[in-house]
Amino acid sequence: MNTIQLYFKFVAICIRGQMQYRLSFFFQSLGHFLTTVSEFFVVWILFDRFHQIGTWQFAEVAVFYGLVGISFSIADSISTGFERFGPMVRDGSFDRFLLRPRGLVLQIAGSDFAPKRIGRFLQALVVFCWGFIQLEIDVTIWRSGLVAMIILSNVVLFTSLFLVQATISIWTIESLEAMNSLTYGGSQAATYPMAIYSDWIKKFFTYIVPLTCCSYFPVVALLGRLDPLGTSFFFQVVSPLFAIPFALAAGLFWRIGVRHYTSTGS
Amino acid sequence: MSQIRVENLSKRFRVAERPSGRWGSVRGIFSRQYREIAALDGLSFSIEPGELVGYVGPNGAGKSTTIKILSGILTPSSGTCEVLGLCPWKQRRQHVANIGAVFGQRTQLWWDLPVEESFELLSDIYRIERSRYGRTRRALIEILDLEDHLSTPVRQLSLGWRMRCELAAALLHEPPILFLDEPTIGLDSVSKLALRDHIRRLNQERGVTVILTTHDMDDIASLCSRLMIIAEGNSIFDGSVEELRRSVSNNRRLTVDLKRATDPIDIEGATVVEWQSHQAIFEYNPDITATPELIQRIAALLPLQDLKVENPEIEEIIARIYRDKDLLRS
Amino acid sequence: MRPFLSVLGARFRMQLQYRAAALAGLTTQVFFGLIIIMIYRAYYANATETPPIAIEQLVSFVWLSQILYAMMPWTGAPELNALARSGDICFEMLRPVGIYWRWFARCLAWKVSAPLMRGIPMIILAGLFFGLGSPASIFSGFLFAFSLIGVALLAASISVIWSAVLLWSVVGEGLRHLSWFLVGFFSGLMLPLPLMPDWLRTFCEYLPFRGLVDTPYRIYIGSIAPGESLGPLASQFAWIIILIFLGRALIRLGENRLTVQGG
Repeated sequence: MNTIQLYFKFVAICIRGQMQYRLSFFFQSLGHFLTTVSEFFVVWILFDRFHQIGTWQFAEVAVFYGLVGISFSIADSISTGFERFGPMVRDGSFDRFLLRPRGLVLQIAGSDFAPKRIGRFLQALVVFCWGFIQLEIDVTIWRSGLVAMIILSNVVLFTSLFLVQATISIWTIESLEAMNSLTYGGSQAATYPMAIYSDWIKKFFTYIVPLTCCSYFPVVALLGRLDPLGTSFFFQVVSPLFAIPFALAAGLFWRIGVRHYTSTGS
Repeated sequence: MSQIRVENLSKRFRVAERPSGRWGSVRGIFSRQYREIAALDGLSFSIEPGELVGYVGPNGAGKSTTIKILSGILTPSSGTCEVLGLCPWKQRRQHVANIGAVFGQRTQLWWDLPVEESFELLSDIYRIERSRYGRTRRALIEILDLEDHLSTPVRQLSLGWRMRCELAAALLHEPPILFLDEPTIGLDSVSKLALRDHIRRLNQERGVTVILTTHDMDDIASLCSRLMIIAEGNSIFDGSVEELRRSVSNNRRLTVDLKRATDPIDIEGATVVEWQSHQAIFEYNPDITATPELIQRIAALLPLQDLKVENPEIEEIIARIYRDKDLLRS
Repeated sequence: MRPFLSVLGARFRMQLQYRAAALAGLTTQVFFGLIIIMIYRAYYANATETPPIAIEQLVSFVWLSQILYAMMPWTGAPELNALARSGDICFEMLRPVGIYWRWFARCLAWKVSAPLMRGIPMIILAGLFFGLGSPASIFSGFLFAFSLIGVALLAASISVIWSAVLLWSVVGEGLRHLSWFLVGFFSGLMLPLPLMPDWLRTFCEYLPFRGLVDTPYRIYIGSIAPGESLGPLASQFAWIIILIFLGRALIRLGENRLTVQGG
């Protein structure tokens, strides 16, 4: 059975396992849904009062919000296994994966899956579509391709960040909250067009973690408007590709982490 | 060609020291002290196909470290190791397809799933071909008597049955080598005997090489043709159980039941270990005093009701060795 | 008093060990704070009408919310949750002193000690570099300190309820998942109450959660002038008393349920 098939089999098992606890699943999803809705409600209230943020309109922010929400919820669901990785390292259950003739990342990703993120996914989808319609943007083939690219590159980016977070947990027992500022913090930041932030944030999220490349510049191209940061259309469309070197670097870091783990034992 | 070959294996660990004193915690913010422990120190041995080897040693001797290195989970500080021609930690995925492992304290199965679904998943993970899987599965279920427990979720199984399922799971991909780390720990007597029986059958009928680490000497006594004792990171004994007995102490125990209460007396060629009113226990060396002679002497001097001759428990021998590692060097 | 202090000391020393965690947590909170402030600034930059809170006040508000974040009653105390879930609470019932006050004391110690580790360095950082202003006046400062006592008591009383509710396993667990939304939104943490539309703000003012964030922080920044603070402070303390009664009732109901059902 090849890697992809095996991953989906793992996911099916996780979902079935969670379905056993139906009421808890319901409440989890409800709580999650209320939280995400209230977050967007806050954005709506603020726009109702201030009418715009920087040079951006509400519907434009809705597009940013929706795309990041869709991507992040997918990445978060895939990476639930990575978030549970720390305790696995502590109690030695990670050894079980090392004893199997399969990729470690596959097994960790398949060890958990949280369908409760579907609340955020659906809400973000609705918000995105609403914004798109409000702005009366034509749905063309190249735009659809760009949307797919944006979502894919963001998923790759966030999943790589979760992988880095899991790798760090190999070295330290202690909480990895600093990484949360990049994953959850990054996704919160990206829900607004990142042009509104001060320079050091923009530089950090372009050159160190290419978040702007995946969730700001290409969205500007999608919206077909002028970029207050002054980038060209070509750059905007090509920039999601920067997620690739980042993912490769994350993979390399992971390898180093595994080597450290096998040399210190548990 | 040996199946497993270990040469000069060493492993050192760095352990952080806990800060002491009232201000230790504050000092701990700025610097940490470490010390080095040598878990393994130049260990070497080799194992042929089909052997059933016991691997014992006091706590902290390096048993688990050895098993972890052999499985590929841990990389050594120095030395080489070859299992079926592969280096466990450098060629992990290929190596791991050749071994099965059962760790007493941890599970390889999926906690919430029925046993048979765990087996299914493992067959996918190990890429076992369908028909081969069917045959192996049937054989293992038969040998380990698992038929009635296949649809039970693993979390509902008692420890005894869980260990049997773990054993089956470890062998689904028909590995030529099996590592068992404390498999009988926590089991009741019936389960222990059953598990030992299964391991013996697997070794004899299917030719699986087994390396067994345990603290239970009855496991060793009933299963192992070869015994390795490891202490302080190195092997201090490697041979059969009989050789061990002979090299530590050849003495036997003779327990005598008396018809009536008798005062203690000396018997030539034997020392008195214990004397109660109706029972006497002697210790003697059969190389010096022939057993039939001793029995005759005792029968002549004491009102004999019944007697038995025993070797000392391996448990005792091992305990003596743990206490005094020089015992074997003499 | 002495045992209380020693528990506090032990908790503090325990947190010192996790130095990397402390630093990491500090970094995260500073980061989140800066992002939130940048977002508000961007909104304020092109504001056509004067907002009900000045941007400098808002900046202080955001930093206060980060500094005191750990004081929020997101969930019951972990050890009490475990007790309620496992049924080991029967052993608690055997003890002579009432459960409620023991639980309350534990939650109070927890909520008081929690923000100390990160709060102090953050006060220094935010005050020196990031725009945390001093209280609007000396009197505001005193009232703020006073309201913090209320926050601690309120947070403790809510925490106890989160744990007590676990005695009804299904409902309790469900409520746990909703707590983030309830506490985060209605307290004014997600969005300061003055920025909300009138109808929503009025609704929030009738709920206990505003006493956790809205009342103390707005007193500090002067958005609630000392003269106006009597009402909110009184409501804060009224809610403390109501929630203590509610907590006690829940535990008694839960005890009865357990003894009837057999745990």
